[in-house]
Parts: sequence; structure tokens; C-alpha cells
Amino acid sequence: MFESLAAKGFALAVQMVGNRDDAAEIVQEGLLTLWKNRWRLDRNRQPRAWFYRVLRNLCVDRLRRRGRATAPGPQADRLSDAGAGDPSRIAEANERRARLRRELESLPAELREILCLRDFHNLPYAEIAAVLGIPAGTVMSRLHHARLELRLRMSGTETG
Amino acid sequence: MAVDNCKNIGPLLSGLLDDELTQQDRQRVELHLEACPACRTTMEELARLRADVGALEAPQPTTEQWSTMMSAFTTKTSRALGWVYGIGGALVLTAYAIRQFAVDDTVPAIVKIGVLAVALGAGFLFLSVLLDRLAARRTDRYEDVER
Repeated sequence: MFESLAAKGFALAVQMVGNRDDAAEIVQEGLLTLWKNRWRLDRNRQPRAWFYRVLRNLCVDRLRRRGRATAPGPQADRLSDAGAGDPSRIAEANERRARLRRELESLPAELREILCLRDFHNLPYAEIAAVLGIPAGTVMSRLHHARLELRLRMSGTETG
Repeated sequence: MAVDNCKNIGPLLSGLLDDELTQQDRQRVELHLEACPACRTTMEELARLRADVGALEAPQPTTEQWSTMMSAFTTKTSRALGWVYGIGGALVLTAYAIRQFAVDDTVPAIVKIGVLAVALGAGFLFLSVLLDRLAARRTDRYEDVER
């Protein structure tokens, strides 16, 4: 259970802070907090949401310390490409993915995190609300705003 | 009519996409989509974008990064195991020593009573400290504060 949470948490932390070494340290700290609270965790009905919330808070702290709460910056580690089949289609798909990653990473942290939690980590709205500490009703509107913003940026890149 | 409602319907498109709507809202959006080509296009684009984000490969930690992540956790686990085995062994040895001491006829009864009194005193002191610590932990206002 801990290893699975660590792997998923690492992906979330990379998406949040954009740097793998920082992400590894954040997950280490998160696991430590998880260990200290393991008895309470057993009674918690949403251990994943609890762990993601801890990680998310650590990521926000890290971004604040860095003084760049909007974008991971030039040293950001990228989400890697995956594809198979016709070479020209692979190239096209890779290009679109690369563009998507760039635009995703350039989104404000508040929009990037909710998009990643829903579309990448597949968390239901109730769990996203628990992770972000926001009302469940806010999740849908913020997520929609994030998707529209990403779509706008993608179309801007595509046409530009 | 349909276009007039687009702004209100907007967030519900995401809700529909994620299957997070109530039956009533779902019907409301589906009715709107039937009459509104613009929202249908938005819905299709958002669905594609969502699928694309979901298809991005998860970043994998290197061996070193994995070691960094798990190091504190491994240390804590080892320490906990150390305490369990250490305390378990000490309890077994103590029980054996007490038994040997109790059945030893060469030790005068008065010495046995004295040792028992000292052991009980130490036990009660330990218990009172333990209870104090537990009470302090229970009333710790900052216990739920997460980093």
C-alpha cells in the first residue's frame, strides 16, 4: 500500500513542483507524516485523499519558498512520451503531447493541480474536494475553468 | 434559448464528462446539448483534452529518487521492529528472572519483600508518567495540524 501511494504521490509531486528531486524529497516527507499518523489512517475512509492532501500542502510550501507558485520553470521535468504505430502519427501525437505538457506546466498551480487530480489521477470530485480542502461544489466549476484555460492555451499554440 | 443558457451550463459539461452529475442535471445538460452545437463542440474538445491528459505517462522515479523516498520510511520501520524485539526480549528475561528470584530459597523473605516494594514503586512511577504523557497527547491542540 505504501509503495503504491509513494509511486502515485511521486507523479503528483512532479506535476506540482516540476522537479523530480524535489518531488522525491516531498514524498519522503509525506511518507514520514503518513507513518506518524498510521493509526489514525486506519480509521480514515480516504487514505489516498489524506496522503495527497499532505503532499499537496508540502508542494505548495515548496513552491512558496521558491517564490514561483505559477509555473515549474525551465528545469521542470517532463511527463514522458509514449506511443506506438505509424511513425508519422507517433510524431504528431508526440508533438501534441509535448505541447500539452508545456501548457499544463504553465498553468497556474491552482488549475494545474485540479486538472492533474481529476484527469491524470482519476480522483472523484469528493476526493478532490478533500485533497484541496474546498467545497465539493467548487470542484466542478474550478475544474471546468481549468479545462477551458488549457483548451484556450492549446488552441493558441496550435494556431500560433 | 439554448445559447442563452450556455454560461450556466458550462461547468455542468465537465460534470457530465466526469459522470458526476445528478440525474436531473444530466438530463438538463443533455437537453441543452441537443439544441446547442457550440456546447457540443466544447464538450467534444474537452473530452479529447481530458483523454490526452489522462494518456500522459506518469513520471517514474529513478532508483536514487526511490531510495530517497523510502529511506525515512525504511528507517522508521526498522526502528519500530527494533523496539518490538527489544521490549519483547526484555519482558521474557524479566519474567524469567522474577520467577527464579521468587523460587530461590537462599534469599531471605525480607529481601524478597524489599525487592518487590522497590519494583512496585518503580512500576507505579512509570505508570503515572505514562498516563500523564497519554493525557497530554490526547489534549494536544496541534495534533491534527498537518504539514
